Amino acid sequence: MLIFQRLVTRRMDWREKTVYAFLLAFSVYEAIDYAGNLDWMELYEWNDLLFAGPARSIERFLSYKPK
Amino acid sequence: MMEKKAAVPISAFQMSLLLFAFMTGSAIINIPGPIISEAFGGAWISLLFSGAAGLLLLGCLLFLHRAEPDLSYVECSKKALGTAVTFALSVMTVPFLLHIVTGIVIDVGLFMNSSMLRETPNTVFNLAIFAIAALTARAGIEVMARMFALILMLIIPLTVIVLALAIPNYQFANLLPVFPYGWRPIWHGAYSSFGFPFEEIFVFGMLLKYTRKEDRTFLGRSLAKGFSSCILFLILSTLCTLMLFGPLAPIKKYSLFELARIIEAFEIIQRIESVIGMSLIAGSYMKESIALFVLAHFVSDLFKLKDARAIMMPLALIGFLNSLVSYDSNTEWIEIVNVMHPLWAFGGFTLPLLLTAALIGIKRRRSGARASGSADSSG
Amino acid sequence: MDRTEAGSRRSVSPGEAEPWSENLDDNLARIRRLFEGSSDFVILPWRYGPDLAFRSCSFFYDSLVQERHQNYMKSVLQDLLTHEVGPGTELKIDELAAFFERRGVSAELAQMRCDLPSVAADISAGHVVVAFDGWNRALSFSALSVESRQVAEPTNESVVQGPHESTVENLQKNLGLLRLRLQSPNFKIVRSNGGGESQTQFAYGFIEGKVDPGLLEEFRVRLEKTRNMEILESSYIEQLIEDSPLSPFPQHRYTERPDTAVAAMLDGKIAVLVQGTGSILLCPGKFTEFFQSGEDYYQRTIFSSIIRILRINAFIIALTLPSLYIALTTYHPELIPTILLLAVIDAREGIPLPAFFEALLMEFFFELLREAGVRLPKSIGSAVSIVGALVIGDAAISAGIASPIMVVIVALTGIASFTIPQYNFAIALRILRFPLMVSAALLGGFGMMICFLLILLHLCSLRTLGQPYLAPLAPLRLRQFRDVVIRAPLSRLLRNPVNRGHHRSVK
Repeated sequence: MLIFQRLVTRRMDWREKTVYAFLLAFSVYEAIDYAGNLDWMELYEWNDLLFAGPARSIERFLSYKPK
Repeated sequence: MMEKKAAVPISAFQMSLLLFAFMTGSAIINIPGPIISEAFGGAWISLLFSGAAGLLLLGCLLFLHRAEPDLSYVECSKKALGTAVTFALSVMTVPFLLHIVTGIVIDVGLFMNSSMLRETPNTVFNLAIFAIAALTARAGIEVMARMFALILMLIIPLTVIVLALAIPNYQFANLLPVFPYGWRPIWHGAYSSFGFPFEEIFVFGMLLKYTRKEDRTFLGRSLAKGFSSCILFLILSTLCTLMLFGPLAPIKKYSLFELARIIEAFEIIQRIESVIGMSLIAGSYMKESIALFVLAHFVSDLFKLKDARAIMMPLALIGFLNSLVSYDSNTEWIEIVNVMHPLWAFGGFTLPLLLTAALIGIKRRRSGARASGSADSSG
Repeated sequence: MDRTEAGSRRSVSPGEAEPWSENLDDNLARIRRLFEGSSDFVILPWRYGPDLAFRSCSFFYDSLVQERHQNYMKSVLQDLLTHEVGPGTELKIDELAAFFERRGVSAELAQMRCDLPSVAADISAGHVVVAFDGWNRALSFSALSVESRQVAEPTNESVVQGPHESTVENLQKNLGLLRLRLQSPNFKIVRSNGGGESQTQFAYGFIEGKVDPGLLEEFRVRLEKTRNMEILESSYIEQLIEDSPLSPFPQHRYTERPDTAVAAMLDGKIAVLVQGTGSILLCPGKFTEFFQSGEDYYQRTIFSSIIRILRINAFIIALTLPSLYIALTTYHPELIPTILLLAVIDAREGIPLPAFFEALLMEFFFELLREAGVRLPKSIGSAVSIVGALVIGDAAISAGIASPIMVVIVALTGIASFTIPQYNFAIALRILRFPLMVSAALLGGFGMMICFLLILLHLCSLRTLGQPYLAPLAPLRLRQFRDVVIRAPLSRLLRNPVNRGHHRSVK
């Protein structure tokens, strides 16, 4: 069925081709990371850099451990 | 079949069904366990608060929809804030959408791994769910609305029956005390449950433009009804969990599953947790396909692509690989969901939405004042 | 009296589109060139008039035409002599031509043909064509008489109460059966021809005002695309106009009963009949209609509703029972009640194959038995069923190949699939059962659910003649549930037909 879909979809224009290529490149990056078991920078590590600090402090502020 | 590109609009009732499916889809697995561990006996009060905040967000979305009925959130935002600011804001939003897309499947994989099919590697579950979610998202919103109505008709009665079958085991005394440690746990629970699942209603900003024109007047009412029934459903399952397990509730992560394990009725109906497991997976599948659909449309609206279906498969592939490779250990995943998720949701979803809504509101008021001013001066 | 031009025939592709000439020898030569080589083609020369001076010739296929119809010349001349010209007077070709061109009354119906392709088409359809020397028209008389079946009891759709008439292979007779039951001028029948070498006649009927004009237009557009293809049976038309030829689910219904066809047309469907076959094609066919049988409407409401629910359960059983067994015994034994579980384990002890292969083997045997049963002559048929029961049943169990529970499951599945009224729908179940079994064997309940979701996705995106296949289930229209799971009392079904739209007339 996917082959059937592939045959009837239209040609992509330059925008779609660019985005498609970029997405494929990113997935190749992740595939190599997975296959080689290398610990490259992925989504959550990027996330960690940005706002792990504030998030953790909010969490620490709000949580209550029963004594 | 594929040449008919024009998106067929769906009715308001179908839109509210989609809302219900999206909200309850993966919330039923993951809530109420974490909320009870944070808010103890007052978990249902936290849900009430976060539900109210969620309704405010829904109001924002509907305001946006009424101002610009045929534009999706991204197009609205480009119009109100400008393309550059939209791109800057979506630096937080698009990765968060990707996080939602992978997070749902990671949760399913972890769930299957811990309870039902323990020895199968997570890869299989992730691949299966991504494959059908991608195919469903590709089929379009009308097919999704039709399918999910049928699936919901199966899942909701099943869940209610399971909750009802456990009645002999409920102990109402377990519901108290409601505020054992003051108000802070309640706020904690509210903060957490607002992050997941109520803040994710933002994705419907991309979907509301597909409503039928005749139904646009009572869309708000239908959506509010759907959202409220979701809140009630979650509160119901939280209460049932509290009544059943009492203080031990937070120990087991998947509470509805454990509830189903305990049921023993008529000597034949025992250990029916696999049935609940199946319905949980169906709910997650529904949420996943909507999330994938929204992600594809978000990216395609951002870059002004003609057809979002062109990038749906690569996005599914990225989601699949992300679900395998992005988190290093279970503990890290738990931290991401409990700690990072609410703040990320705020920065990626709520903040841009509020900004866009505020700017559109100001513009309308200014143009309204100008129009009424000119009307005054002329008439 | 001419028939309406709505049924005009297309010309045969061999043969020049030349007009019929006045010279008989020219025409004779052309006809000989076209039809030579066939031993059943007859050329009969005649002479008439004073001193038998004028010539004419009849052409026909003697395999199509009955003996007593071969001599139309005689009846034509007799009519002329009695009515027009008067006894004993000379009969000339001009008077003959004038008589027919001015459409005089004659005992036999005659049509005038003016070129070779239409003459050739008429001869192939069983007409006797008479050509005259000196007149540039040929007369064509319908004379087809080939043996055909009598109207009898339907073979595949018998009912306990209700009419026992079924359609036959003759298009005219079938159309007559329909028109007799639907005596309304709004019931329109449009005739057409297939293409290619067969030129089969077919017709489609609908009730103007009940059928959706958009639907009819879509149907006509699709039919146009099949102009040049050969149509041998109504299933050819189905396969050429359907939305998804690759789907296992049929998108149109078949019936051999005129009353079912009439009820469907009253519901806004289009009925297609083809010459040479008794199956009426009803388009479009929605998922919920495949569970309906004609008898539902002739029995009491409660009984019909219960039987309908039984059929829906049979559908689910036929689709999922073997895979459910595989998933439960292999992956989720805790779901089986303990006592039954002990029985299952006891039965499965000593079976060399795992549950999946055992199920596959027994299903395969059952499919073999089913196919063999279709092809066998009736005399051996009963012997085969006994052998099949013995082999698949007792012997397999005693030999240790299969467990008794597996045999019960396979038998139940087979019986459940026979409950479905439409044969082409039961085929879908047979196909889909195997992927479900494979996915259940691979991933247990999860795999079954994935397969189910795929099937549901396919069903939800399927369209039949442009309409959603799963209506009224999805999109959910509760008002149209009168005839889906239960059968509402006839007074509600007929008096307030929300299901059947009343549309403006098709223009």
